[in-house]
Amino acid sequence: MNIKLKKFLVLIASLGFLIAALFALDRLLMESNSTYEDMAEEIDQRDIDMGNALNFNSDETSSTAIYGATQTLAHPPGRKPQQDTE
Amino acid sequence: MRISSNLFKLEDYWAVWLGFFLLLGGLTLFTGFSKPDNMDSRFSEINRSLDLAASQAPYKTIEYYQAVDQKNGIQARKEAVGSFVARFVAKPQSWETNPIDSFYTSAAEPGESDLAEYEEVTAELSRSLNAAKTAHDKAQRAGFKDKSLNGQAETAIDDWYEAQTISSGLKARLGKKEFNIVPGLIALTVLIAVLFAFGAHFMGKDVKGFLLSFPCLMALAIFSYFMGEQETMKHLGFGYPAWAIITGMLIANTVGTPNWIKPSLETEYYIKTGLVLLGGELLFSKILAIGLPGLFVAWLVTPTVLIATYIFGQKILKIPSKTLNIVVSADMSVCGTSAAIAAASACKAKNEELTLSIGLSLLFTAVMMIILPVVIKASGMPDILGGAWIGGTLDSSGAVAAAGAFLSQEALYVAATIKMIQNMMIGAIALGIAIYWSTVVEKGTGVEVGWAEIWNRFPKFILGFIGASVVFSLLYYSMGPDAGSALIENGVIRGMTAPLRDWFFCLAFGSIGLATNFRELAPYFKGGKPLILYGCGQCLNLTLTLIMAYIMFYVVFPGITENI
Repeated sequence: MNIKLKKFLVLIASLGFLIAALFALDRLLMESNSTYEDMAEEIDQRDIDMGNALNFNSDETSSTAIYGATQTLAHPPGRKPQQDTE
Repeated sequence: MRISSNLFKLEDYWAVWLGFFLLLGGLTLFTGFSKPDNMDSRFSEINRSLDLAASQAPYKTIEYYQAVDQKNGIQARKEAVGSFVARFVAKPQSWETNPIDSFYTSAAEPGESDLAEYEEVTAELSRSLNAAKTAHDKAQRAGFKDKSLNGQAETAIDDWYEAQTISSGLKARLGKKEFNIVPGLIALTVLIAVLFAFGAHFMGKDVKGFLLSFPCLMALAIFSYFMGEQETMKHLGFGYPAWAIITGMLIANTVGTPNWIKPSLETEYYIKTGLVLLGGELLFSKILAIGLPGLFVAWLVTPTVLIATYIFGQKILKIPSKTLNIVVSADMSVCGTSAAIAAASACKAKNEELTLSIGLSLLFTAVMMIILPVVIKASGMPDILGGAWIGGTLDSSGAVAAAGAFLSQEALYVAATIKMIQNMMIGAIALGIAIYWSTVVEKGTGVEVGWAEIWNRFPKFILGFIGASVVFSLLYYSMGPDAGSALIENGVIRGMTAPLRDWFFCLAFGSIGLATNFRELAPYFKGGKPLILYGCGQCLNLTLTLIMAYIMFYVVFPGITENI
């Protein structure tokens, strides 16, 4: 077999093995760990984009949470209404 | 004279020029052509409603939440020009079983099961709304003096809001419009290639080779995003950085990286430009509005852990490479991959060291994302303390959001806020590392080095990074929090520069992978020292963060904690 073709097949097989291993790990964790299962559901439900790294501004969940926190501080419940607003 | 002649020849300066070109271009597009209609008057009106709703009960009422949502909906990136630009820089979308969903989806009618689910969710929303209204009326009739009734009303309203969030998400999913990101990806490839080729021309690089090979590197970046957006990969926290590095390494170590692609493997160029864009995202003025407890937790613990871990690595573990030590320490103590990239660029670490550090971060984040919530739940720790612990110790923002949301909405607030405050430290830490490296580490012992030489060694793009942060923070401050949020944060940053920065980092990770040989990586891991360093540093981080979070949220500022 051509050496280049052989190397290419090794590359495809390595990627396939990696993907299969990750899917198997996910299934294993789903079956053995209820927290992982709940967390996965949470991720699916909230559709956290790029749930890995470098995602500070792409992550709508964090952004909405922080927005809510800033609004709570700017307009704390139980406070008398202000004459001048922001 | 030498500085002025270098301004258009050095990569550091070109990273600054390109970064500012994109930041200022984005600013013009979003503030000039995508400003929401009657924005100021709409904000004033909603703020009046918010203040009124806030004055009516000692907790957040239904009207309060509705006003916050209405206010959060005013965003420049949702206007015509803004959404066009946002689509142009879009990454492949989430998908589960059909890979085509990542690039193209037709506007299909919802299926019967989807409609049944929607009806169920709508019925639950209606039930929870009635329960919230009833509980609120009871508390109101008691003049809000009965703490138990107030608590019941607050819980019922929180439940309704949670149901409403689920319902809105489902509605958006069912009403999904047709999208096709392929033309945008092609245009984006051309834009990024031309942009970087422009600088490459002035730096005397192989522009033709760059332009011809860049589409292949971009294809690797697209593949990495595509794989990272698959649902199972998201569960495992296996996102685009991991896919870009691993796929690149597999190619390099099997078929080999072809010589013709090498002109486009400009790792440093992509990273430095991405870091200047990242600077624009760090809005210092915003954190002042968030509150003191998180500020203390993030800003006291993080530098302490960084310095202690670095010293531990040098004195106890005796890690041969100082650059590897500082990159791993910054990665672990600050905020994962972004901090690792900034630290690595500031101390001019080798690509293999950055790869190793990012690998450790991804591994620990995936494990801790599951273990931390289990420990918090099992120990009966309050959600707010748990959220602070998660926000201060988990590396990636996505993992923080997932773990925080898993505990409760309050935990998510605290976790995400602390993470954001921690992210703000990247610039200061990168600057500190750059100065320390230029003046102490590279100087060596007993060798006198003049300021001119120190300046030569200093990574100048760090100044662009800090400058972008200062300029955008001042702009945000001058506009005020509402307009700043609508035009800067939810306009130019989230609509354009942050996605572009992610693309640049993805290209850098792909370049790193394609230039990495497995055999060259192995010596850096000798004796498992980086793993021990990361593990010990993380233990210190976990301990100090928990202690500091408890002190700040429950001893020093209990009033703020009650209002969260």
